[in-house]
Amino acid sequence: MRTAVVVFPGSNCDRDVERAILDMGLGPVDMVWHDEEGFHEHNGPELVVLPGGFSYGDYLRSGALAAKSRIMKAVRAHAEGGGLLLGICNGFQILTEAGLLPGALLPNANLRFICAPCHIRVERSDTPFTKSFKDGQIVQFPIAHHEGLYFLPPDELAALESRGHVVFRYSAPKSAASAGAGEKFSPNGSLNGIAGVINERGNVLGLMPHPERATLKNLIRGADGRIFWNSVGEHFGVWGDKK
Amino acid sequence: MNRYRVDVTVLPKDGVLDIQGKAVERTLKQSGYESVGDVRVGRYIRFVVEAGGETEAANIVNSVSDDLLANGLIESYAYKMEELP
Repeated sequence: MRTAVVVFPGSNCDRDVERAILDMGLGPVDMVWHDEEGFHEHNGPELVVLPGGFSYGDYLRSGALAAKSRIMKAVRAHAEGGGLLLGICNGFQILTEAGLLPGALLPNANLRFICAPCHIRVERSDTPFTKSFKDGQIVQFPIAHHEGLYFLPPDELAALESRGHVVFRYSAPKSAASAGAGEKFSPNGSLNGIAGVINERGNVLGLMPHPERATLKNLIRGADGRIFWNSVGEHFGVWGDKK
Repeated sequence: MNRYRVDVTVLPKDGVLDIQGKAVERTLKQSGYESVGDVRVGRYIRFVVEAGGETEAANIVNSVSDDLLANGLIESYAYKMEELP
């Protein structure tokens, strides 16, 4: 599986994503500077990742300036050609600002930066990013953001839900799974507890929690992110943990 | 070519949760300004645009605002324009 990670000025999870994918045995990973015209020819990527961080210092709005970067033309073409495109945290904000995913990420309801482990429920296990999960599985990925409140006007939010475009939802921990998932579990006030959404075609995913921070074993608590990377690997017939 | 100084104000749309506005409003009320309400916090952007006339300048300003300065899903904008000598 060939992966390209786009590096914007202010990205700070780019190396984490690279490390996670290499640790999973799903390499190679190519780092691509935001000011480049396109991806490197020797590595036409199958997966493009827009990593977390604070691109352009979050000036104007989180992700707004990065969404206009030179490389974004190639990123858009990659998605339009059916390639997998993943935005994590600031990457998710960039995808919404670029119009590649619906919605916007507003400041957290408590106006604080939240850095904490969090529980999310997998709402769909039929996407290239989630096929190694079980439907309804509760996993733990950490979050670290100030603008994570997923917002859409009521009508569009209802349409997003009815089309099944919500892939991850903030939930109770596994030990209290019967309590369910939804807005009351949003650490950031996210509407309907939305933590990650996918496009109609099913090849562009954005999520606020960080799977790459739950990948290396014995680093910090939890390695549920491995299931996430296994899914993408499985999609391309490389097996990561399962090989 | 004429030069115009443009002042764009960007505000959260009605119905969009404005946590900053709420926090400012709460603090104002706690400070005794009970007559103040409906506080919205936004951005103010000033720039100069060169154009053949006011209509062309206005088109550029609208385009710049729609394209980057405001996110139409959550924000609205208004502007003032003044021709520079």
